[in-house]
Amino acid sequence: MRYDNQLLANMLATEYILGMLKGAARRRFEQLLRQRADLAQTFHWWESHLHLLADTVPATQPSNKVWQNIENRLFNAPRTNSRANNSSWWKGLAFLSTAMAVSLATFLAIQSPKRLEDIAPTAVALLTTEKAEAGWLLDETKHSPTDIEIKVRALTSLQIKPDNAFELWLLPADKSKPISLGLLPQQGTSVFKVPEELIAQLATGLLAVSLEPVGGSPTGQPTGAVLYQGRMTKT
Amino acid sequence: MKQTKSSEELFRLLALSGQGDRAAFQALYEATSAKLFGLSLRILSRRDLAEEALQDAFINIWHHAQNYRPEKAAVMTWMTTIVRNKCFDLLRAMPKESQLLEEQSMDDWASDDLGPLEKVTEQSQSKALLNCMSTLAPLQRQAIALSYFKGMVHEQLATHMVQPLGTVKTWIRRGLQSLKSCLQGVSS
Repeated sequence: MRYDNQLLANMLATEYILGMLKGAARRRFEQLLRQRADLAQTFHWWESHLHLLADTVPATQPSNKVWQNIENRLFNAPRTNSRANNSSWWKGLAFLSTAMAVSLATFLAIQSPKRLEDIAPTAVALLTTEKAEAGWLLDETKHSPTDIEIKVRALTSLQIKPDNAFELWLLPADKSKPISLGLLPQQGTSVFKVPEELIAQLATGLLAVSLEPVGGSPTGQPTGAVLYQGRMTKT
Repeated sequence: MKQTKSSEELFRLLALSGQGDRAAFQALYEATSAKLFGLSLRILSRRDLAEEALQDAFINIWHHAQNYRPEKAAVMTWMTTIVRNKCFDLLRAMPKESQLLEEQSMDDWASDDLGPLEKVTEQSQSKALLNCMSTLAPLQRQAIALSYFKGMVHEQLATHMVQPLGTVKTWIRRGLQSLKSCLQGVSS
């Protein structure tokens, strides 16, 4: 490899690892990596050395509940949220999505090695209170431009309200009326498909969560206090 | 703290996890979670979110354990990549004003005084990296650290460090070149 090529290889490899290469440039680099052994060698050198930075951070013990949650999420039967909202249209979906998640996991498991980036979420949102207390994490996966799925996960820090429901609203950027996206789980995860006609608005609008009676807003518009907000951010 | 498992042992645990061995997966978690949690905390600055990111990362690790290829990266490198990506997803989703609560500690990290940090790792390779980082110009070192631990791209670094874009790009590029020369000097 010529000297200037080596400089370029170093630059591309480090920018890739640090996360500075985005979109098409990132995919182009991954393609080059498969074709060029010399580039792959430079890349692996940097990967094994730059990530030593993580080892220079002091170790800190996470709380015990982290492992408990991992075990629950992976190995326990999905906790059906008995306190949740009977009329939630998500409830059926959540059940379906559990089945889908299982088949997806199997599907992933039998697939040839796949880079993690390929299944990384395309956008994420963290719904937080004014005081930045986090309630839910939303992960968007784009299967095709019209087939977008959002996985919602209730975070452990969420203050559960068994006598109420949390309803998620899309506040369109053009300030038109809030559109209900459904009820949020108070524990565990659920998945919903974004209606095709809302895909564009979801990218530009705000998300808000209001406190509603069990079963959701009786009027089709938010009736209780808006407690959490966020917006989808491209990853 | 159980941070002393060899990389061969970590590989064995990850391979068993890939075959569905829950006990091995738990042992892998016990051996690596404190280190990886330290990284999540450094990136996210908030314990609650760092724990969520760690959870998500280990869910991914379980699901992808059998896709791990030892010839491509060491187990710890592979797991670190997953944790770091999860943290950056959360960091990007966070309201902007709370993203850099801990600027101070970043500057501390980048300061000339790297003494105490030498105590945090037993790995000689990591010590070599720290030594080499300490030979860089402070601003080069800070730019690299902000990029690695806060996921900042060139434009964000330029804004954050109040420098022209070209200057920041040069700091990163030259800083990494010097780092590589230094590290290769150590190993040869």
